[in-house]
Amino acid sequence: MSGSVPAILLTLNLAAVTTLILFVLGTPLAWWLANTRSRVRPFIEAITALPLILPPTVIGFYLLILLNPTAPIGRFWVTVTGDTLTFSFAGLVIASILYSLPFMVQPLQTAFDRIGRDQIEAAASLGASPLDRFFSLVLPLSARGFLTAGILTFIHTIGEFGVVLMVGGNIPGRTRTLSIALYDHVEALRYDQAHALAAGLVILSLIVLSLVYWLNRRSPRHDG
Amino acid sequence: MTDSGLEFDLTRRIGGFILRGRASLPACGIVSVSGSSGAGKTSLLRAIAGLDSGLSGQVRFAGETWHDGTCRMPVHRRRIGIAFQDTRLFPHQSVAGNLAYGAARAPAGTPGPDRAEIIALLDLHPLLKRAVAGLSGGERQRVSLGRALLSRPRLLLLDEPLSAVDTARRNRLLPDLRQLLLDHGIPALHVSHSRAEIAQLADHVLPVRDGQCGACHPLNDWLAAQDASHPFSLLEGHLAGHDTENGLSTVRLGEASLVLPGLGEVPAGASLRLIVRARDVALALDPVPGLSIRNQIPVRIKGIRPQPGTAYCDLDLALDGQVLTARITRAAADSLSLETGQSVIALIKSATLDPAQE
Repeated sequence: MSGSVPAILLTLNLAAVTTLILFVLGTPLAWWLANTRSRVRPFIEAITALPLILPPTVIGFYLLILLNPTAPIGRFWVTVTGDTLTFSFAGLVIASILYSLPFMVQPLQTAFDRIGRDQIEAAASLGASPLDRFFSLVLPLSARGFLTAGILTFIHTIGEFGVVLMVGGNIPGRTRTLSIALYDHVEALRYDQAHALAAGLVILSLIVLSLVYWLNRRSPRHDG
Repeated sequence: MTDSGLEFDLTRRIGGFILRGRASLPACGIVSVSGSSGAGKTSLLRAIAGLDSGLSGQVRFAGETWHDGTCRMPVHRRRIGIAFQDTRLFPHQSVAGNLAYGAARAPAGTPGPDRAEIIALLDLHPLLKRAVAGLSGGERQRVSLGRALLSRPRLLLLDEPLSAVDTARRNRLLPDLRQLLLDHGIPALHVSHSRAEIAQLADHVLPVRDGQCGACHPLNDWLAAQDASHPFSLLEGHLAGHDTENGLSTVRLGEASLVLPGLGEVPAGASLRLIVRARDVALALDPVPGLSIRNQIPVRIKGIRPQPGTAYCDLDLALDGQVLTARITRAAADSLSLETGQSVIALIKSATLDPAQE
């Protein structure tokens, strides 16, 4: 069992970094999607939702093409950091961000949609600038949306397999995440260790999902 | 004198509806926007506040350009207080939190009414710790109005601000609100379809009809034009005291005073306006004992205007600097031999003055 600890720590680390970065990137995207009247909105929404339906291996395959050291992005990364994007933690983070994007953006967009224009207009008339309105009004009114988005992103990142295998490979302590370690145990017929990891993941997911549904059940309607 | 108030010349298309308005409003005082529902009153207010896009024309306030063609000053920089009809209180904050929201964002050192004054005016003290969700419609409107006033606005926009407040409280509140706005020199644009509310609050009236904004009239002219066949007078006075046992209050109009019901909650000293219909005023040559009519006021006849084609004549009566109009029959005027300059007694039934009756 102790052999699984690095994999667990690596996975938690990856999920935490991914969730944090997605908060920063996903919030403005979700805000834009909730408020824009642009004609390209459905197209951007479709792109955001794409990771939900594409097989993870497809995403992983394209990321491998894009991030490998001979491609422009991959080469740029090597010259800046001296490390490759493929088969590294940084590469895994980029892959996870893309893979988990809809789990961050969709709950946020729903939360922002529900606030509506009325309260925002009132705050503006009271002298609040757009940034001030976001922090004093939008953020507290969509707190549950943020919590849901964060939890779903985190747990979804923990469970990813295909993308990680394609982009990160299986390097212990570097890219071997929980689900890859589980696959390894099964391959090597170490069923007791596989059981421990699999059951752990099921229980954790169940607890987290229950928490999300419980939060959403208690969520009041802001339809002033 | 034109550079200090609100000026606009704007056009806005909303689907098939076209809003057109052009006016130059005085720098202080209260202008009521009057019109039937759907006439474009709220749209006009929103256009002035800058809440909607698709507006062409100009909006200027105090010499500052708010809107010109496509260039638009952001709403949060205009410092407009808006009391929305649907209140738009923030559900995640208590009443006190809502009140503090605008106050915290007012530039430091801006003059304006202070918190205690507004809390007293709107009787908000019992509500301060309450959650917004538990408030009644009228309570929400009072908080919304207080929140707008506390943001130290340079211009106040009131969209049916007290429509859900009960009549007694509204009667008490309107004169005080008017006084507060005048004391602090806050100009206000007020939307209402209640003639009584406009009469209590406005200095001028801006009629809006089918999206077309008319010319701005002084309140008296507008009230007179509303229904020329039923003249009335608008008298300003102060509440002198209450006779709680009989449910009557005394309103002083200079030397004279009127006794009337329905003002039980108005504090003594408050200034208020009374609308007296000309047909409710009778005349006598001397005080009449043994009569149910409580208000017997000495006045002087300023003018006699026979109404052609009717049996009536209207008399303008000087009442301590104000004018009270009476409508009596020509036959009655002839039989009393009334003449300009003559001193007579105006008789007004208290019940006809009840402000809750309109």
